[in-house]
Amino acid sequence: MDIQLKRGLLDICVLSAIKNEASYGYQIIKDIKPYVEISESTLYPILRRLENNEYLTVTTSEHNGRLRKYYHITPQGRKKIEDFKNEWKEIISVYKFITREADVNV
Amino acid sequence: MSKIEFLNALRKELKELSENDINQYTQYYSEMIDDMIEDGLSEDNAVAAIGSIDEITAQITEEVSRSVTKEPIAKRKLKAWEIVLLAAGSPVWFSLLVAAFAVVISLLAAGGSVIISFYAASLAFGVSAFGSIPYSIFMFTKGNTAGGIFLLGAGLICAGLAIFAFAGTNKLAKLYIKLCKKTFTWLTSCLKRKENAK
Repeated sequence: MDIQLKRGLLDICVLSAIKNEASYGYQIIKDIKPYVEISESTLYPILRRLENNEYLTVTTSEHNGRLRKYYHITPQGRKKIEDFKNEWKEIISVYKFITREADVNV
Repeated sequence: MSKIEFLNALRKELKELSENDINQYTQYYSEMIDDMIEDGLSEDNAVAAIGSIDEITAQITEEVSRSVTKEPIAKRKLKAWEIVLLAAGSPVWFSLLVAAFAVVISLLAAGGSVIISFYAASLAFGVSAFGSIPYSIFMFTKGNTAGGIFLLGAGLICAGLAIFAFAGTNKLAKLYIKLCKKTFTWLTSCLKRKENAK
């Protein structure tokens, strides 16, 4: 998969992983991994970028005697997911056109 | 590798970053390893699953450079009087620039020749040791015990000095190479800024 495309998709996947409830790094990776390859070292820059762009916020809570960071989606983050879904409808429409064209030429 | 060893190694590799960034990265990986251990992995397996230090550092470096180069330096259009001033003053500022550049290069060259002379000195000590020790044995065989002992002692001293001098010069050479790289990076960034200003 194209690297830029994958990077964009991973941003949306991370936001989707925390859409319903706040989550933490390791859980986010476990949720996303069945769908797209993501490593621990790939996730952190994504989380930082999303936080800098205010798509998520970070809180720290105590868990089993240690501190754990939890990531919460923001309204801007939810909007980003909705924008992606709308853009994807357009991409699917283009894809249908391209594949229809290929069928016609065959 | 244990978690502590991994985090220390990571901290060492990221020493170019700010202290805040280093702490953020090490906290992230510390938490990740703890979560993996809680999930049932052993500490060693959790660290291994994270990936190698080299891979992680390369990814971090790439991300840092991407975030730095993302915003290009805004090219400002020069005003007419600024252009005239630059052109009129070019014999002065340009020659000063060339002189400054020449000073930097000559300082680096001087540093390089000092390193080379240290290597030459350690080689000289090594050759002396290489020559003295066998010759001392020859002197023992000829019955010149005092001379043999003196030469053997001198040879061993030279051997020790050669080893220390070589090791020390190697460390100095590494620092020098690092300094040269930083200097050239700084010079090229200065030149790029000048080009953008034009």
